[in-house]
Amino acid sequence: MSAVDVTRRWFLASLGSAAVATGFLPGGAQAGPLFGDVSSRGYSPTLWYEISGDGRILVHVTRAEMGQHIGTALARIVAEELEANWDHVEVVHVDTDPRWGVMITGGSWSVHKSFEELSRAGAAGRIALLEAGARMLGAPLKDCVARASEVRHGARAISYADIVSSGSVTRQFTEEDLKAIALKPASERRFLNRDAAARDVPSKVNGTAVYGIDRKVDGMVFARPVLPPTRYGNSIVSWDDGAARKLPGYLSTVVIDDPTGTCQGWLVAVAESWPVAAKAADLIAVSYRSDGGAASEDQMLAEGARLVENPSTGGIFFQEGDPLMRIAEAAALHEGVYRTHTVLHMHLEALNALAWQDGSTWHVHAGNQWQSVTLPLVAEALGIDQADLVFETSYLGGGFGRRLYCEYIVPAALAAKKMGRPVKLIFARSDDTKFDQPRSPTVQRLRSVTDGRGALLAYDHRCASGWPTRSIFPEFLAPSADGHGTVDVFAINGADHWYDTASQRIQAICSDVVHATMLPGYLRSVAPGYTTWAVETHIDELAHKLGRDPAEYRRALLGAKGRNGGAAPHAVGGANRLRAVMERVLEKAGWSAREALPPSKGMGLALGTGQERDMPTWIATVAQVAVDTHSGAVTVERLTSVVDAGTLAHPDGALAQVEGSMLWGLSLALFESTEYEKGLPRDLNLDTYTPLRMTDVPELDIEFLRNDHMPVGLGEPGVISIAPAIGNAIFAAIGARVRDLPIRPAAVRAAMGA
Amino acid sequence: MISFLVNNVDVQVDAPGDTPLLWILRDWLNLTGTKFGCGVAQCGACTVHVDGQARRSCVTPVASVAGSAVTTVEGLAATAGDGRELHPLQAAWIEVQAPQCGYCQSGQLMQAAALLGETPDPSDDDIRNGMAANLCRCMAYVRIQKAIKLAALAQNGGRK
Amino acid sequence: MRVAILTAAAALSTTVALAAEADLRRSESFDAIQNRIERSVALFGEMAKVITHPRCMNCHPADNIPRQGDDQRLHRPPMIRGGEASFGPSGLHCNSCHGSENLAVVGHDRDIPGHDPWQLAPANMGWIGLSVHEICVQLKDPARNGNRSLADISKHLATDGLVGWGWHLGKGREAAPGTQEILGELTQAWIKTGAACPK
Repeated sequence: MSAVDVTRRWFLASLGSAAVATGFLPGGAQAGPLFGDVSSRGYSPTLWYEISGDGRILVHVTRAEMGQHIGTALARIVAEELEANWDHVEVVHVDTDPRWGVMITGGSWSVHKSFEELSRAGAAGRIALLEAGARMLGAPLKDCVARASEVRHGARAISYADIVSSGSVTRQFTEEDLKAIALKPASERRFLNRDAAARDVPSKVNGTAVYGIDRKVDGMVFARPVLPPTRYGNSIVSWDDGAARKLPGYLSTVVIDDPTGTCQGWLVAVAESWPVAAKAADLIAVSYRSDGGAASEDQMLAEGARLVENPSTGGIFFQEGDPLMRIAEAAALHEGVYRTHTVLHMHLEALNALAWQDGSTWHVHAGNQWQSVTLPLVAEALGIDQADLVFETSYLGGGFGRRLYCEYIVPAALAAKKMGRPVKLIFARSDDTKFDQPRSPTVQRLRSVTDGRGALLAYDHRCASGWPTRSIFPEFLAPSADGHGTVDVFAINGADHWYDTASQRIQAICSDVVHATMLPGYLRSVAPGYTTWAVETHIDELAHKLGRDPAEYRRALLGAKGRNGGAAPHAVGGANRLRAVMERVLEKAGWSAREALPPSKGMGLALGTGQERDMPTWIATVAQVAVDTHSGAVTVERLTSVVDAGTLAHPDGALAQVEGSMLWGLSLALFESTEYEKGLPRDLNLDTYTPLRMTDVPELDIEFLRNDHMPVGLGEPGVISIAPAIGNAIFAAIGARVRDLPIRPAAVRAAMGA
Repeated sequence: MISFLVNNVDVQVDAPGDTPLLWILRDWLNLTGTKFGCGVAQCGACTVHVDGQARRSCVTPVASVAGSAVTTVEGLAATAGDGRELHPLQAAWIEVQAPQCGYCQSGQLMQAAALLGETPDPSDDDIRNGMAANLCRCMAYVRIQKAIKLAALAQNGGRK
Repeated sequence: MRVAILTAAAALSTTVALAAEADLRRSESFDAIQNRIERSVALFGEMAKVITHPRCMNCHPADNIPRQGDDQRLHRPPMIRGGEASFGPSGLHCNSCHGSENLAVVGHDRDIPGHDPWQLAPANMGWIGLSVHEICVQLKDPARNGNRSLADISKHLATDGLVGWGWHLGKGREAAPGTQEILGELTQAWIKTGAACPK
């Protein structure tokens, strides 16, 4: 046995004896917080990093790590302008502190929205170090260069470590100073658009990465919630834990009195271990008074269909010209109704939170994408000042939008308060699913009028869905373009496509039936996940109706006119870049040879510009499918996507995001959905809710068009063009037009008959 | 008191016999690399080895492993027997940068190790079929498959 | 632990048996059929209520993919027969998930089925998609029944533990009709009457 094994033997053996004594976790042997101490020393030209006296560059990352290797991407941005030695750069994920400002990881925003600030922060450090270094070298500043964490003058050099430890660099930068800094020309870049191994990967292959569920503190007990029959409108009439009390290790059942209204009619079963708490929760008999919304999937879809036809509903997201007049006058109108069913997050790390009080400060350890929205909620639930609450940071076992609004921390905190000791609340998978914030069912009606040459004269898009922002953060609702009411842009983004259109109106309609039943959430790709399905299916239908090749027709509409010409710095080139990715994907996928495919096989094209017009990632996808005309089953043989996301902060991470998100798109297109029944999802676990598995993976062909433009988002845009490309390919293969997601074999069969 | 080996170390735990092995590993023995995902043997995040065979620890009563040898991701490297810090699969996982969120990866690695244990030179179909019961919600499947092939090649001394 | 479960099952057997006879007739109720061949055919028809039940069919696939549940959906997670052992693909055996006993899991309305061993019927005994006639012919054909004599078949149906699981299946799925004992009697009577197959 090696020395390492001896150590491990001692470690495990000591635990073993402790386990004998107590039957559960001994105190003292616990996973510590994941991330290091960020107390200040060394030099910090801005908030965003610190150079310590030994030359280590600690980049403060406020964005959650949930699979994007975000720390690596953001640190590369800093390192670029700082002229750092990459080996000296460390990623530090910070806990909540007001000094970090808003903490949110979502919308595929992280790199895009951090780019300017982190670049300028890096440049500020370089400037200050150059000045100090030149002084220390006794060399003229203009003759010195910064490179690889050194200031160099000819053959002489002084390290950042020596400069910082000398105490001679102290320069601070005002906002104006930072704004005035000119960033490096792209020709001088040494980090961006170049690869590096992701810093989070090693801990994710040896079991040492700490997720929300992995943290332990002294005196901690375990809990599982007992959920009411629907999300809203429940109160507890009576309950009985007599059967649970017979379980050794069972401690008690806590009634959650929640001033925030997050938990309506909740109990939490508490025990010395989670398996006992979990069993106990199943044994507690509860009687509820319930009058909450309990709509079914069909009722939500029917309401959506009613809403899109009701002209008095909805807020205007975008309008130009008067499309309704043209539609009223048109001799021929093309109309389509596109629907999507409820889909679930099914992040693999089941919802969990650990909460405890230490002196006057409350601590929470839980995966979290949007600390700034959840922290005030938890403080309100506990009745404490926000300053007395700290959220520790951990890795997320999947975010996908479910960990933006982390209301599931509330019952953990309230249980810990009542128990007077640390409580780790873990949801069984079925609890997690019942308490999901699903992507609600959506119904979209698109109407368009073209002239004889196919130009879009009028275009009218109305989308009825749940509005996540209305429930989660109403301050983010935008005013309707006509001044009446509001719009959740996160429920309609992506509908404002880049095709030239003479007049158009895009409206989002909030479904109260959805909101009475569920808390509609943000789910990876958010609105473009369904708006792009409608837009790209509709455009394809128009092309076929006009007898045009779907690619040639799109090319004709991508004239980059007016606002479609783009804007600097986020959308330089506009629709021209969308056309470029399309031309390249057609070439790669062999579009021109598609007529030679055997019967029942086809290719479909779809374009995507997720996640929003202010941050477009340009994507074109060709799907090749084979349809079994007997069963209606669709096999996706190949997906080809070409992506222009501007500068890539971490190209391999960018590729990984596109690989995963394309498969997400495929999963949402063919394999994922549930139906609400009596106010809850029918499918509570992965035996009947069936995301894509390795056996379902088609050939993937991905290419980035590389350039030095402003980086945009990559966590989600890869999702959105997949489903319409598949739907359009099905039409090309067998002439059947599907308008509902997911595309189930029965729907294909039905469309064949139509 | 239930006795078994974990990563080649004798352990004794005082727990009800029907306690799932998963929670014994995580909360009694502090081996938190093994993850809780679905609790019903659908996702594979909790995969460990029991006497060299892949097992879903969330549906394995601890009493059923009495006297057995359990290996978790924390002990995977040692099973390669070459004294290195990483099992060839772990090295390949890093080489291709397989993990995204990483939560399923311990289970993926343990399942892949069971696959290579039986079929040292797996075909694409062997990999797909053997790994189909391990869900990756980030859908990092392309790289997982690539890493398994790479590890197989490395384990077989570069011979194909 | 297993002994305890069998004892519990035995204690229940009187009440269970009364219900069981309602959905699977005992062999003597066919005595009234005079013609021996017709009686044999009728007996097999009764046996087929069990044989074609999801509890049996789910592990007799013709496409090497096990089925699941009363609606006989494809097994989730995805699973295939694997090699000749019919015990799953390389590295992923049936007992990676299926233990030696049925297992209740929290927050789930179905137990995880368990029995030692847990495996598919051999590949040449695929029944899904076959008619009752075809299943009957196959059952008698030593080339396609694991080289079993009729006596072996009878013993298998009457005493095999995995067959018996069809009546000891835990929460969340429907038991096969009758009892294994009645199935055993029916099989013996069928063999005694010449083991005739329905058309």
